[in-house]
Amino acid sequence: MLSDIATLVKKDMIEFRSNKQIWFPVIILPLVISIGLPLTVAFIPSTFSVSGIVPDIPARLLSNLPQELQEVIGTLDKGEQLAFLFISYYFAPTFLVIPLAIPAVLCADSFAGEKERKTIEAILAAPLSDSEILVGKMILPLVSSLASSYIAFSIYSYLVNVLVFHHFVFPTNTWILIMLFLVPALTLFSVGTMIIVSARSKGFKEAQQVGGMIVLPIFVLLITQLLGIISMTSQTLFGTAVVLYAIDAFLIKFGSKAYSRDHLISKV
Amino acid sequence: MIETTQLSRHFGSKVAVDNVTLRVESGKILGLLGPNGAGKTTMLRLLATLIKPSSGTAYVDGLSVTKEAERVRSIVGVVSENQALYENLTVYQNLDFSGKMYHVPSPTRTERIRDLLELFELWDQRSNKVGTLSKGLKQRLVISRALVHDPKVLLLDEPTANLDPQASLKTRKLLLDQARQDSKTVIISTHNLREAEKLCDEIAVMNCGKILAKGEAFDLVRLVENGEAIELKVRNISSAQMMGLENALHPNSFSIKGDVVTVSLGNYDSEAPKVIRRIVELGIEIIEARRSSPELEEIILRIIEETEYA
Repeated sequence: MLSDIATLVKKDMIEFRSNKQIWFPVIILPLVISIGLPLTVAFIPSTFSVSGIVPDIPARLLSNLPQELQEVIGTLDKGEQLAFLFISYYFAPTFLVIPLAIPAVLCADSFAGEKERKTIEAILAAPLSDSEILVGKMILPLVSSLASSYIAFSIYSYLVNVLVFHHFVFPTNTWILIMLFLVPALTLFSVGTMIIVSARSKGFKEAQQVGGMIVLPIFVLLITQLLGIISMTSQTLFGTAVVLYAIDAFLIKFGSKAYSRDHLISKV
Repeated sequence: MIETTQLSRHFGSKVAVDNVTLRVESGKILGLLGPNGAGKTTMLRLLATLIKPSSGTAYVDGLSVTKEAERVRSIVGVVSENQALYENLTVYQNLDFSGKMYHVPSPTRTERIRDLLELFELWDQRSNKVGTLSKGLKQRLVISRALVHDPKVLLLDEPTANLDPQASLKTRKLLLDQARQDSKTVIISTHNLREAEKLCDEIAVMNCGKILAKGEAFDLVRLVENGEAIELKVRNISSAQMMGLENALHPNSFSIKGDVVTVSLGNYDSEAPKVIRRIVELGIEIIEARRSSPELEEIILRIIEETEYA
């Protein structure tokens, strides 16, 4: 069973490597977020007050922040406070786009793309169970997404500490919680959603377009956070992750039914 | 061996395969013929366990397509109407992937892939991406892929489509060898009637999900009303002899084109001598007599038409 899954993953990897349409966004997006955001803070000091003029964080804005973040900000130099606020709080939702967007692109190709190219028929004819095919097709999007997220996070942390602050301030406990619990939950959410979307869509582009909407809640999160409507505390994040895992289990169970042999072959 | 009993498959209200009872012995090749939408592809997909039957049973080499689907898939080689090749993978990678999926052990797989690539003259193309190949080469690869795990049963949907005459001939020879020497059971869905005639031990005519007729090409001729004919080359028929011919034979059963009289017969063996005797009695000189069968295409069309009419 494991060797069959490994064969499927290996085949998907070869296809993935040779398809710029897929790997380009998968590589570019984490790079933009992990390198672009810290560089923006580092090289526009007048905006983020690393040096030069040091604006205060407005008291009302500060009061909307989670208690734990307020405490960390309190320990920093005045010149670092605003930069830290952006680096560790307001940029966080942007970072969550990675575990949502990467599986969306890879799943659209792996599930809907194979159906569109009709190559899925060769896999369906092989002596594999429906669940082996499903797991085999899920692994590459899952692993790629998690790997990209963690690599991007490592680069982001390194640049923040070395380039922006010149001492260790990042990651905070909240960020560790995000990476350990929320990112895997979001990745699974994206994969589960895309299995269902791909099973119902006619091809790669349609699946990718519909799947692209999966990142919209992140922008809602970004705006509501900026407006102080919601606060990303450790408790909120942990609770969100638990709810997401429950939704993930439902999505994957529902998706596995949609991704059955009989259903797929009738669409080829 | 393949055996189905009252096998049916519905898609909503549409009946794609309707109560098909069929038996194909080991080492035999059955041709499935019929118009588009007749149910040929669905029939092959049912036997390949790609779809489940709505009712009835089907056994492939003694294995149930519903209860032992994975084992059935492991002994079946499929050529689908869609080539289903990975265009971004090389020729070799496509076969290697398929071999792994069918659990062919590594040394055997390497050897088998080499043999097939050489057999189908694809060895020089092994490192090329499939996307760069012509349709004909791709089709050769599709057939190679179906054989990579040395299956006991081959289910082939239009296997020689896209092949040039030389490659078609080679493929036909290979399929015959596979069926005869390795006792593989083969079902071929094809529109190529000449191919079916040359390749298949038996032909099953399908329409509207049903098997309308099954047998050797020769047997199918007998199923059709006035399926056979005798062609007589004669010397100068006079008007009186022509009238005599019309009285002696049913007007619709014969035709005259130049110096050839063609007489349709229900049963060649019993009726041909009588027809010849009557013509000779009319004083018509017969230069040459030849048994004539309609083309397979015509037979199939007539079987379908007769069934629809009935």
